[in-house]
Amino acid sequence: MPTEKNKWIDAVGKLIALTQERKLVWRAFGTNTVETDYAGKTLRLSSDYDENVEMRFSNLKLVEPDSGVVWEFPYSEANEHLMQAARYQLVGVGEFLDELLTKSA
Amino acid sequence: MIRLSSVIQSLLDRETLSLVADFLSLAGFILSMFVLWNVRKLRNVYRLRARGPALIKELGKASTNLSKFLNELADFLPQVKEEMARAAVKLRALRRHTGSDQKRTIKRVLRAIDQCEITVENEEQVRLVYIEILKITEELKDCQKDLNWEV
Repeated sequence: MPTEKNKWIDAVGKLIALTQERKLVWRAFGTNTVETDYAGKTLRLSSDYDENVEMRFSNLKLVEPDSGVVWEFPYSEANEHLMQAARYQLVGVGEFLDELLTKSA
Repeated sequence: MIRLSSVIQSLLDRETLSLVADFLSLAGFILSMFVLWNVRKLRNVYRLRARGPALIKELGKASTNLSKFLNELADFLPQVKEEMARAAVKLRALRRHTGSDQKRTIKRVLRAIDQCEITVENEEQVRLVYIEILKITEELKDCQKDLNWEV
């Protein structure tokens, strides 16, 4: 049982929950990168193209703001979900839907 | 020469032969069980190889949909219920083709899905179940990758 991997999924799952509860606010950093601050560190999530498999993968990195030292989280599907949640928040999908559905024709 | 022939004679007497036959039957039974166990294991490996990728992909899709619906749980309660049910169906199908370790984990996740009350008040529990589905999906993906190295 890959418990070590599960620990990272738990961590990213927590970030997804915080994002969806609007407790973690993301900002756009280019079109394929988003950033947020948490516990004195910067979290950088970028959608990078892998030429070997010809697919995009979301990579989550923890950045030390003063030194700029970067550490990358192990990849899992949870990263893609976090990227979706961050984009949902940044684009304002919820608000858009509310406005669209409440507005009379 | 006389001693040797008496030894052979004693080996060939009825009682010894019966004992040898008993031993061989037992060895044959154990061997049959071993072969049967291996055939069962191989069958499961090939079933997971054949059906696994599609089922794991569908499970992944259910968890992706769940994560999207969790953006606004209050608005998407029926959809969350539907995706949880879909994930449970895929997990039940996968349980039949996996090893004992994964079977145990799948059983635990299925119990969590069955016991989870999908309401806005119970959002934390719903999120925990969603993370469990994410974890088992990753575990099954790893298991699938390991199969490429087997047999």
